[in-house]
Amino acid sequence: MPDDFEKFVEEHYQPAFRFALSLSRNHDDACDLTQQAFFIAQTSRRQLRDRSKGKRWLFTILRREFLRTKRHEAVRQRYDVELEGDDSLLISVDHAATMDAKSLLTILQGLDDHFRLPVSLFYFEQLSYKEIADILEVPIGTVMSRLARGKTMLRQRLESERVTQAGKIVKISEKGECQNG
Amino acid sequence: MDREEAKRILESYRLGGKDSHDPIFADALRELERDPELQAWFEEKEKFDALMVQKLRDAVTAPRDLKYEILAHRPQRARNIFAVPWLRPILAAAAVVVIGLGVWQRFAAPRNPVRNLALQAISYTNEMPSLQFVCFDASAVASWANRQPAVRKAALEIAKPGTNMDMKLIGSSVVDWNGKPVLMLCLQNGKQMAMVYLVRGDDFQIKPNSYEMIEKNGWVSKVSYSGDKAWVLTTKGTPADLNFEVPF
Repeated sequence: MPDDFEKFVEEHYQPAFRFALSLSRNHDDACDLTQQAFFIAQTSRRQLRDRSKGKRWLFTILRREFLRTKRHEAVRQRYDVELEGDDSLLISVDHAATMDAKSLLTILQGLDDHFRLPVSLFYFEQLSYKEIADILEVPIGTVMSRLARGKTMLRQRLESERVTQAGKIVKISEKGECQNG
Repeated sequence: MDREEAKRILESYRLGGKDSHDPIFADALRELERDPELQAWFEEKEKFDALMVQKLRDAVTAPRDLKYEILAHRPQRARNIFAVPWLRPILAAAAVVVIGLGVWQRFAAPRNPVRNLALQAISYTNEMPSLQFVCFDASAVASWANRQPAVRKAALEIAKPGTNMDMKLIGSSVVDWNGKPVLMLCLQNGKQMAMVYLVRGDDFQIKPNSYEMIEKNGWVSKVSYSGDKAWVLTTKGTPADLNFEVPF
């Protein structure tokens, strides 16, 4: 018979891992971070008064723990990145649909923390801007701005990647024709 | 609200109309109804979001053994036995017994201060207490003892020691038992030594004419009462070893 903690782990370890991966961008670090977050959650479970907020609470622990472990290398990255180009360079839905999931993930992981984390929480967990603001401990307006800019940057980079891949395919194809000819 | 501001806000709008009642989106949603271009943008945005949700979720799966790793490394804690329903009546009964025994020991069990005093004397003597004053002139020892402020205050002075006694007074100390003054007198006769502890009867709840003789771990101790004082005679051996006359 599973106890409360087992149920909690069963329910949240997948989303927790996804968020840990968004934070750390490394598979092994994400596993360690997830384990550590559950360990802390278990030892400080009395702090959780409202069980319906368990996931948000766990994500906050994850983020804080990530920041704690990375404090020594806390080089603040600039996040007021200028958007690259205009809307004409955004990938279309049809083109995005042709891209494989791993490529999408790689490009998402390449975004700066300030954009990657809200966008990841929005897409992976379908969290509201309020919940994201709670987890990331930033104002609601900041989350909305970062979501808008982060999603635009993602579409721009996906389009850039698509164009690059298409160029490679053309070159390989041309090269192949010469060899065969 | 202009189109760009509406776009910025609607980027946070979740799929499936989850945020349709959130007032923060109200103005942007009204703008959406009025502006066909914004509407087209929104439809594209919703499709893109749906695609991302589906593709990204498929892209990341936690390792199969992660859950077991988490559970295996969870902090161990003592099981709350009070949470086990069938143990509760047993624990309640045990608690009643323990509390009852405590109450009985405190109020109902016969208290024997005379015996306690005898036992304390054995225990104290067994620890080889040091003498504050040692002299083979018994009178000098008695004089030293009678000069001690605690002895005088408690009126524990002793009479001048007699001569030609079996046991000679050779030393003394003034000690403290449970905050009460005790005059300790050391007697010797050849290899045999004995201690006499003199206390005020009231200080140790010793009633007049009390008497107790006990043996413990090769020691013997005898409590007797005289005047308002209790005398505790203690030595290594048997009750027969206490058959001597105290020299004062």
